[in-house]
Amino acid sequence: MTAEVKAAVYPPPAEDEGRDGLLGWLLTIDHKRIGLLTIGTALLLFFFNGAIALTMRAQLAQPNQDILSPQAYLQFMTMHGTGMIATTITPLALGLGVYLVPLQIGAPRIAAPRTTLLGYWFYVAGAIMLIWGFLTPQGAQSGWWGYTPLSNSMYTPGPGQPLWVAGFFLAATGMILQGVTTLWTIFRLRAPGVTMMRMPVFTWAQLVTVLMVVAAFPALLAALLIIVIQRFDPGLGASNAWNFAYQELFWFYGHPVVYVMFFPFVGCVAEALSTFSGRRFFGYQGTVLSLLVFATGSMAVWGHHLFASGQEVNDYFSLTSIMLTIPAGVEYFGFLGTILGGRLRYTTSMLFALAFIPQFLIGGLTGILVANPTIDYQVNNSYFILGHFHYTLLAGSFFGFMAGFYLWFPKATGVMLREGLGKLHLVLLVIGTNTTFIPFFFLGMRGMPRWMATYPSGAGFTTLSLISSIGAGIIGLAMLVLLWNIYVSARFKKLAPPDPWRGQTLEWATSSPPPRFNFNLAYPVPKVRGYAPLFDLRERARGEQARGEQVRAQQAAEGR
Amino acid sequence: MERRFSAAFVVALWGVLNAVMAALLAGFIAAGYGATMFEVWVYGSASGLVILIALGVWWARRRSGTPLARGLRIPARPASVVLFALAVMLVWLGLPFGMWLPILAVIPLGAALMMEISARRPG
Repeated sequence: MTAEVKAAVYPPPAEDEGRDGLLGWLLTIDHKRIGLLTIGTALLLFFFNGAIALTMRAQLAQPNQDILSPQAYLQFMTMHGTGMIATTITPLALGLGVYLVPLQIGAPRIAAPRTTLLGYWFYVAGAIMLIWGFLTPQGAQSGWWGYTPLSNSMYTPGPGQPLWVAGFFLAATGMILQGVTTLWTIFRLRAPGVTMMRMPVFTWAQLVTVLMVVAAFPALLAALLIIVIQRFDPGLGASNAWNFAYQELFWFYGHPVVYVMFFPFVGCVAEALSTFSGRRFFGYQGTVLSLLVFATGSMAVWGHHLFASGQEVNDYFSLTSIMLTIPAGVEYFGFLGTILGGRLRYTTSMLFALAFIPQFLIGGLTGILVANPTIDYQVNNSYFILGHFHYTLLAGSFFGFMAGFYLWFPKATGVMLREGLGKLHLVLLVIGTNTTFIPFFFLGMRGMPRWMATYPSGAGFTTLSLISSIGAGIIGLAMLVLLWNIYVSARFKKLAPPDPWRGQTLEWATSSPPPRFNFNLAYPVPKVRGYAPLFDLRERARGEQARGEQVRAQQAAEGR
Repeated sequence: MERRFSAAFVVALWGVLNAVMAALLAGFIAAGYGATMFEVWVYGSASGLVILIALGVWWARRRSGTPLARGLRIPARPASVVLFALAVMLVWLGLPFGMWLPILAVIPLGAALMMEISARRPG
C-alpha cells in the first residue's frame, strides 16, 4: 500500500462519522466544510456590506440629500470599509485556500483542523461584534483605519468603537489561525511527488498570501491594543508618538492585506486561464518567483499611505511602490502567454478571468500614479483614491474570485451552475463596476473629497455621482442574478462529473464533491510529475494513442 | 532545482528578501530621508518572524519526516473549540460593557477544558 493511499483510508474515529445536519457543519473538522463555511459567511457579509454601500450611493446620487445624517454616513463608511476588508474579501481569499490547498496538493486533510475551525469561529465572533457595534447608536465612525486619538474614549465614546476594535481583532486573529494551518499543510502534508515546484499556481499564490498574513497581521493586533489602552487612558492620545506608532502598525497590516485580498485571486485567474485555454500555465517558474518578489515588495510599501503626513521616507516607499510593476508585469506576461496559442473555451469562469485582466490593470496603473508622492499630494483623500482601490478590490480581486467561484462550484457542490445566468451575471457586473468606478476618477480630479456625506448642487459632482450610483444599482442587480443562479442550480440539479472542465490539478482527480478524506481507493491521488498533473496524464495518453495509431498505420502499409 | 527548492528554503528566502528591504529602509532613514527607526523595528521583527518559521519548518522536517507516510490522527471534540471562541468573545465584550463579562467567560472556558481532559482520558 502506498503512503498516500494509507493516509487516505486512515479510519476516522466514531465521532467524526455520521455528523450531518447543522451541528455536523458547525462543529466540523473537515477542511472542505470549514472552507465552505468561511466562504459562505463571507458571501453573506458581502451582501450586507454591499447593501451599506448601496445606501451610501443612494445618499450621494443627488446633492443635498438627507437619507443619512453626516454621523450615520461616517458609521456606514466605517462599517463598509472594515466589513469588506476584514470580514468579506480576506475570508474569501483565505477560505478558498482552506478548501482547495489540501485538495491541490493531494493531502487527506488540513494540518491542525481544530485550529482552522477555531479560526472560523473567531472570524464569526469578530463579524458579529463589528455588526453589533454598527447597530448601536454610537457606532464606530473613525474609518476602517480607526486612527487614534479619534478612536479613543474621549473622541468616540459609547460601545460602538470598542466593539469595532474587538470585532476587528477577533476577525484578524481568525484569519491568522486559518492562514497558519494552510501554511503548515503546504509544508507538511504534500502527497508524494508534489514537490514545491510542482504545486499549482493557486497553491503558490496561497503560500505567499499566508506568509504575508503571518508576517503582517500581528501588527494590526498590536495597533488595536493601542486603541484598547487609549480607551482606558485617553491621555495617551496626547502623545503623538503613540498615534504615529498606531499609524505605522496599522498600515504595516493595511497595505499587505490588500495583497492578501489579491494574490489568491491571481491564483484563481491563473487556474481558469490555463484550464480553459487547454494549456499548462505559461512561465510557471517565472510566475512563482514573481509571486515571492511581489509579496516581498508588498510588505515594503505601507508607508505610501502616509505620504501626505510629512513623516514618511517618501523616497523609499515611492521607489518600492513603483517597483511592484515588475513582478506584476511578469504575472501579466504569464496570463497572456497562457491565452495566446491556446484553444480557448469561453465559459463564465474564463470570461471572469479575462475581465479581470484589463480591469485590474486600471487599478494597478492608477496605483503606480499615486505611488508618486507629487501626484499623491494632489489626489490624496479624494475620490481618485477610492476609484483606484475599488478597481483593485472589486473590478480586480472580486472578478478573480468569481472566476474561481464558477470554476470550483461544481467541485465543491457536485452541481453545475447555469452558464447562461453566469454570463448574464458577468455582463451586468462588468457594466455596473465600470459605470460605478470610472466616474470616481473624474470626481477625484474635480476635487471631490472622500468622507463627504453630501455635496452642494453647484459643486460639479452631480452628474458623475448619479452615474456612479446607477452603476452601483447594476452591481446589486448582478449579484441578485448570482443568487438566482445558485438557487436554480440547487433546485434543478445538473450533476457535475469529477472533472467537468478538463482540469489540470489534483482536485479534479477526485469526485465532485470530494470524499471526506479527499482521495480514496476509488479516487486515488494520481502520479504527479509536474504542476499540471492531470494535463500531463492526458498528454501522455494522447501521445501513446498517437504512437499506437502510427504503428498500426505502419503495419497496415507493410501489409501485415 | 526541485531538491534545493524545499519548503524551508522558500520561507527562508522570503524572510531574507524582506530583511534586505528592511535594511534598505534603515539605510534611507540613516541617510536622513525622514521617519524613525520604529519602522525598521516593525519590518525587521516581521522578517525575523518569517525566518523563525523557516527554521521551524526545517526542524519539523528533520524531527518527524513526512507525516503522510505514518498516517494522520483525526482530532476529536471540536465542540471545545467553539466554547473557547465563545469565552474569548466574552472577554472582549468586557471592553465596551464592563469587566463583569470576562468573569462569565470562565463558564465556557471551564467546559472546554473539561471536554479536552475527558477526550484525552484513556478508554
